[in-house]
Amino acid sequence: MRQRQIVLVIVLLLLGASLSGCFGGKEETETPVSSILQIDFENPSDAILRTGEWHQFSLEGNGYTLDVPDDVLLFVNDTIIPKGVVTVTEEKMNGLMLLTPYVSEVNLTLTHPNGKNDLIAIEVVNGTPIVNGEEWFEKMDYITSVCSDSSQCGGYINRWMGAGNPQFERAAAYFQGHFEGLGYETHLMRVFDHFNPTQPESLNVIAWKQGRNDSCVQGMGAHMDVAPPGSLAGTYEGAYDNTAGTVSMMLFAKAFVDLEFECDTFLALWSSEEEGLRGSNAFANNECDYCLPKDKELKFYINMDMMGISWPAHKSNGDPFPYHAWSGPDFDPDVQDVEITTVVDDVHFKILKAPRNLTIDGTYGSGCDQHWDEHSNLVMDVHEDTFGRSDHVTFRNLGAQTIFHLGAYDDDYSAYHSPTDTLDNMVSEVGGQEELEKSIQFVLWAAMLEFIIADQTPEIRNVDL
Amino acid sequence: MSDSNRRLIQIRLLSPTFMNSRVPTVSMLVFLLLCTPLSGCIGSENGDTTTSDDLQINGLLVAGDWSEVTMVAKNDLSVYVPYFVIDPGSYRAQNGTVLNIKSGSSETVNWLLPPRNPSAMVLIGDYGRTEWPVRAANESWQDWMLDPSNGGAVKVSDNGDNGSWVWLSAHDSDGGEVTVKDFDTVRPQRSDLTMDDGVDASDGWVDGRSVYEWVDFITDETPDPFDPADGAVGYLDRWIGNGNPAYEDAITYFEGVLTGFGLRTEVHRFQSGTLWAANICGYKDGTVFPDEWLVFGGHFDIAPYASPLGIIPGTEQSGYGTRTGAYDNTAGSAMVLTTAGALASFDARRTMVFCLWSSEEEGLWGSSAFANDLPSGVTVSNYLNLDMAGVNYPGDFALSVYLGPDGSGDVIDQPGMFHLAEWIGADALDLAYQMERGATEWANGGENPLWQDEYQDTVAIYESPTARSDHDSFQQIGVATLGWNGVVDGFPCYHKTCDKLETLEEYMVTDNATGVANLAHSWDIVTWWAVFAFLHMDQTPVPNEL
Repeated sequence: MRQRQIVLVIVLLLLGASLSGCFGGKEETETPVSSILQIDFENPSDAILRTGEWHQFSLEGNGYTLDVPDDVLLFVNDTIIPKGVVTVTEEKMNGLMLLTPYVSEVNLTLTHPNGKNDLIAIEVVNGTPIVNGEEWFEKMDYITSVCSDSSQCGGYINRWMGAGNPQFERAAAYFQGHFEGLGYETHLMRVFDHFNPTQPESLNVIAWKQGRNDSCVQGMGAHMDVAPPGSLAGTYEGAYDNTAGTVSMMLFAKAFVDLEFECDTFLALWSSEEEGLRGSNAFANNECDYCLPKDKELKFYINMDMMGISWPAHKSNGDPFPYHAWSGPDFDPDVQDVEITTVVDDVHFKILKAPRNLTIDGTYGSGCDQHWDEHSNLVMDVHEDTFGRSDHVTFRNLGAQTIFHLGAYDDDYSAYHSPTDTLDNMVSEVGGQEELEKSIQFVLWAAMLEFIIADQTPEIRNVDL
Repeated sequence: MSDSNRRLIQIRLLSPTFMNSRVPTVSMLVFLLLCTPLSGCIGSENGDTTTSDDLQINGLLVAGDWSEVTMVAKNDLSVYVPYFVIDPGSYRAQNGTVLNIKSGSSETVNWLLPPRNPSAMVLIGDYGRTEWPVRAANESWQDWMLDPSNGGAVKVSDNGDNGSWVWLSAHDSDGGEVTVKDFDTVRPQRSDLTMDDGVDASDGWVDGRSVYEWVDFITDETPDPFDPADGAVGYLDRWIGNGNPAYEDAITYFEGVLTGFGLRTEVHRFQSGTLWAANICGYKDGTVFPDEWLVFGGHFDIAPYASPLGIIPGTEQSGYGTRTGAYDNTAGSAMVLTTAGALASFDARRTMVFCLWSSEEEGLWGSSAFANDLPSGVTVSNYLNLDMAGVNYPGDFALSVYLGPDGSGDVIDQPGMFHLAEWIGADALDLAYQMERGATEWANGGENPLWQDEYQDTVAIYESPTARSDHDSFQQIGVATLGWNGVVDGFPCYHKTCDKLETLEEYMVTDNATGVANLAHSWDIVTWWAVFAFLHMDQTPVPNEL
């Protein structure tokens, strides 16, 4: 009996062995990468990525994960994925990749459901960035030029204060049209209170974009007025302060058209900043259909004022111009107070790979920021700070987390509030048009990415809540 | 085979309307059962072995916007797609193509299905087929399926752009027998509107509701007492030329809009007579023929006040002049803007120029200055005019589709343009019946009553013996033109204070629709007509045949 059992077991084992051999011999076939990932409808090995541009991708197969490097941004459903990692959960995923202009190589990581990784190198070539210095310069030139042939220039200069000044009025109409043409619901907001010479009127251009979540609001802005000529100072073009920021907003508005944001978003051109932030104050504190809503959480605001003369541009003595990006509020100078500071830091140093520790011999000429003594020779002056002097203060006072982008100022830019604040002067200061375009392009990308990422950072909340 | 011998096999997809009733559904099934042996017999008799089931079309069947579908063949076959498609080689739009697809293979097609016709179709034939029947210009494809005897034929020809897909040209034959695969389409709609708001003309590549909203904004009389230009939220008082602050204000606004669309924008200032004036033009350079300009235009100036009469409340239909000019010609300006916004991201062969003319009301100064001062080497291939359109079909007034130059009143001097206007109106806009009535009314009374009297369901295409708008400036330099207008002299608010959007809404109310809805549809028709004319003219300009 026992012998029979042994024989039976052996027979079963033999049968089992042959059966298992049969199954086991059918090797697991591996799906080729080209069947999982497509970039611009091409196999990854054939795809060519252009710096600064959008690219489509599709990822097919449940459980596959795509991981991109820091300087490649992933978007799904027209919204950024801040961590740069996506996993397919519904058979297929379509999305977009956006390369920064400074990418030199792209290695994607494709993780299979079984944990295996494929490292995929994609060819990279120079592209035309979605916001770029060349387009910025063209618009600057058009707006600041006055010429006899009206088809060649706009002549939108002398934008002093706000309503009532015909030059400001026509510029406001032009900017309103521009935002309308891009598809934004755009309003001219006139405030003409007091008839008080010390409280001059204001005229803002406010473009709104609806968010997915109607309980919160966020924004970005730049003042479009320029310092009026007075007994001491004043300007006509106001190229640096602040036509530069105004044109930046025009480019951001174009870049944001096809994106979806979490919160309702205002893109604003403020008037009367030079008279005490009156334009942004009027928007934030008045009641109107298109003013800042009081029943929604104001999460963050990014301000663009005096742009283009900063690192990577260099002074005539060879030193790089300083670059300032200050987040806030900064309640305690010794600790990080707000989450938006992490976004600012990541954008500059992880994504755009700016040189964090670059310094000059000696010190820069300005000493207004709270941390001046710690890094008076630091080129990339990127940190939390209490610095005021522009429209972000209006929103910081309402509890918003803020970022203030500012180029060289005071002693580092001599044409401040001067008739010599012209586009020609800006070109001269940085040593050429190409240098100016490179310089503005960096800060344009920094601010644009900060906005897009902050929108998808739930930890950024109003600090007064 | 003669036209009378051509037979069709028509397999309609069940529409939601049919599905709602059991009786029609049963009838349809019986019909299909009867048809099945019949179709097989016809097919074998003539050697064409295809059926409509041999082709599967995967993807949403979207009306009025560019959309992609995949056509999958179950047997070797050819498909005649009689709509605008984007050639995958040149990436340019072309008027139809023929695709040869092997069994089991597929082709992805990016096409623009008719925006205002709920049905569309493709023709199917044996693989490699080159000749196809085609509908007559003044009938829809649905009419042609019922009675193909008026149609003609086309034959495949080389792609004129070095693209991948064949073009089609007229051919002197009957085209032969074909299989028809027709289907229902769905036009996208906004979710925030109702039928009374014109929701069914609210989305797509262009749409009439957007035109309505442009007019609403530009003519917004909500007081803004601190606006030094016109004291209102909108852009009113656009009288004559520069020097008027309100006119200047509007110039900069429109300049901004066209720039925002992404067009290269220029403000042309010039002097004509004794007053300065200014046009605003947005350009997108052509990718093949940049020196051939295809111009869209509408004047943005409005009739100035000649006397204070008419401003006084209760006298709005008196005097001469308007602050708003909703119909004349904010409407045309709004259609130019809507068209420009859509086409700004479109790559055309010829340079697209979108102009808002100055000083039309003073004698076409703006367009005349433009037409007579073209850059060296530049020609205008065709001109499309948008002036006073909107108070017309589907309201109780006629829509005039005028073309020219006109030579003799008794003969059609521009048969090419006439054919094109009919071709677009009959199928893409589904207006064959209205066009037939329009032809009769034109024959009965000519242009004058069409501009004055009330008509129902009337769309008249004709060579206009008059040229009271900016198209005249281009006809004077030998360009063939096409334009649209509704009631003119019969509109009591013509050049009057009461030329306001609310007045247009009142005039457009019909028994079955609100004035707002009818206006949206009216502007939808005209804007789409202009867009389709542009697509055709970009591929093949229409010559002046005088």
